[in-house]
Amino acid sequence: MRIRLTVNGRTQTLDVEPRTSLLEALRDGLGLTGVKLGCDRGECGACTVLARGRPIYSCLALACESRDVPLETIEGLGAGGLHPVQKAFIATDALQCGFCTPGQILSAAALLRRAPRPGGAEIARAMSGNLCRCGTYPKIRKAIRLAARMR
Amino acid sequence: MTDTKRVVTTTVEIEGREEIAVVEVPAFEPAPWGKAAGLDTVGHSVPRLDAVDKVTGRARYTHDIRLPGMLHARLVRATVPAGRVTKLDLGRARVLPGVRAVLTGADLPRIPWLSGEPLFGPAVHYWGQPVAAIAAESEEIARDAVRLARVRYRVGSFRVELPPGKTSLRTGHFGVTPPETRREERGDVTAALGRADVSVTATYRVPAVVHQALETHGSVVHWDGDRVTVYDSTQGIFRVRRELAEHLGLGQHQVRVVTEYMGGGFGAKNSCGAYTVIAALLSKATGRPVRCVWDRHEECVDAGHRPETEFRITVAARRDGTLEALDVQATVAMGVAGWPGGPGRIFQELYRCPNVRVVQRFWYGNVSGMESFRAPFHAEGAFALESALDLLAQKIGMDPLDLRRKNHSPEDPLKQRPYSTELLGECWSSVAQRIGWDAARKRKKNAGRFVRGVGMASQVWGAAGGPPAYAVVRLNRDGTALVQTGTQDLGTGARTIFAQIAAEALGCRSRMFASSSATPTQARTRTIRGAA
Repeated sequence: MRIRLTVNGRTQTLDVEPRTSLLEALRDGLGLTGVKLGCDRGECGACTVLARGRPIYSCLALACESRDVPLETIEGLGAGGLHPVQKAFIATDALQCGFCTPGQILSAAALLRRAPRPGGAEIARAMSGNLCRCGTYPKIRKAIRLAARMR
Repeated sequence: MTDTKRVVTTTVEIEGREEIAVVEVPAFEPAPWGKAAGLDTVGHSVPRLDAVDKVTGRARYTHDIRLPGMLHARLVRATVPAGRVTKLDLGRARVLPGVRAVLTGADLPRIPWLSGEPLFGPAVHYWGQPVAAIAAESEEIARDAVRLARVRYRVGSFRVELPPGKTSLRTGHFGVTPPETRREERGDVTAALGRADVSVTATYRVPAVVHQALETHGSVVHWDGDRVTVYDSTQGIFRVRRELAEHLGLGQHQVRVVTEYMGGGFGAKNSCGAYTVIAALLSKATGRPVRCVWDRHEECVDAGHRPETEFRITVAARRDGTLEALDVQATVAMGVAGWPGGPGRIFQELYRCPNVRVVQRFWYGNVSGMESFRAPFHAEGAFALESALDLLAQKIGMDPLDLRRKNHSPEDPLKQRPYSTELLGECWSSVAQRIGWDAARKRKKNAGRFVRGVGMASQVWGAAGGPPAYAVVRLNRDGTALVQTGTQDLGTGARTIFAQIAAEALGCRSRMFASSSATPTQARTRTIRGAA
């Protein structure tokens, strides 16, 4: 089936199967490989994208149900220069292997949009859906607090 | 100047495995930088060279490799824990539209895999063992085709957990004798146990633990003419090259292994995986690049794990806490494959103790083979040793940190020579101060059957270094430099570290960084041990 997806402000047409996940459509259909497949079951958060500004697991969403939903991926976030969250992740070295990083950053950016000065508990709750196997959590929390001050 | 190069053959030990290495003795070796060297770059905090790539999603991992015409491979896996494949029917899978190739044991050269048994051989030794592979135009079609495979098994007897203490370990899977029991002793443990003031004995069982790197194991392989290019999620591009060349009967010069970015390894991505061999053979069969990447479930059942280990440990000491003897028996459940590295070393290495006896036994069971996992064997050994020391501290009424300080060894007690740097004592003091150890110990909270408190444990680990380890630095006319090494950056910062070292040695800074950030990290002719 042919669908139209609006990603990072651009509307594109692509052919998908009804079973194609949003994650597969973004990675394989649109070549947006900053979106990662980690678990394919809504646990790790590596596939996080923003749908209407809210973080979702793109592995659990179908491509065909994502028509008419404005989507944002890591490729779009820093398109006009690094976003404060991206800058803060670099400044605090809140990453190691980097595989979970795009998802972490999108979750953090979404948090700061709705809560510009989040408290510790708010950060913990907002980031609870993103796993990091290298264990950079303390630095990620530090990066989010830094980004909040940068804005 | 002479062109003659001195070469020595040496044994290199990595994580309990020994390899013979031929190493060039450098004609010129700069002296190590001492503390007083006044370094401009090394030891200074700088942003990672690859940080921008990683925060923008531009970093391309093996999972992200998309080659023109690329096919996707999925595996038919055993659905019994032991036995034999009696019938394998891939007829319906083969004719599914979009399926391009099917690979079974009959199509393969004999590739020794499990203890000498061939890949895709009929004998099954663990649930999830690869039985056959299918390549198709998309991952979904390959999955559909796998569902159409019909496999019949004769189910055999199996055991996945360590048998009770006294069972013979030789009766494990497929009659292969496990590695010999290792016995190591320094001093006289029996005598020391007899004269010690106090002793504690305990049994600890550490479960199998799966690495769960976020980027699962996988390869994209393109077999083009007599050249094979492998994009692999690996910690060891040279080992993958060597092993793949051996498996395929190729020269190492025909195989190129590329790992630009990898999403976690934690020790489980050291060798050439079945996915690499399968992708290579399917690529050869179809003439197209083939991607074979484990899914999360496969990552759990067929990607290695920290082995389940059981410890029986006796710690004997004087009344003042001075260690007199450690008597340890460890039994390691390796799965269907592994190596007798064993957790014995930490007991001989972490504390000063004149009498140490370690007996290490190894057992094969019906789960996939173990792999190195973040200080392999030492993590589980540390759990047993440090737990037993806490029991001892309790028994003699001593602060657990004081007990450790009492037995601190500024020298390597195993090799009986000084460490180049030894900061464990400082580390304890710093941690104790930061967490307010004395006050925190008093704030023990009882919450029903749980008790909440603080403890402290230590670890010792020797990162694998060279030799052989080489890097090539090319100087450009514009004053920039290109650093080429054959290591991978696992997230430990190797890219940045090597650039820092080169910048320091060459006496320049910022421009070095810019150029080396664009450096491919694979030099095909050199190897190097990287950052741990």
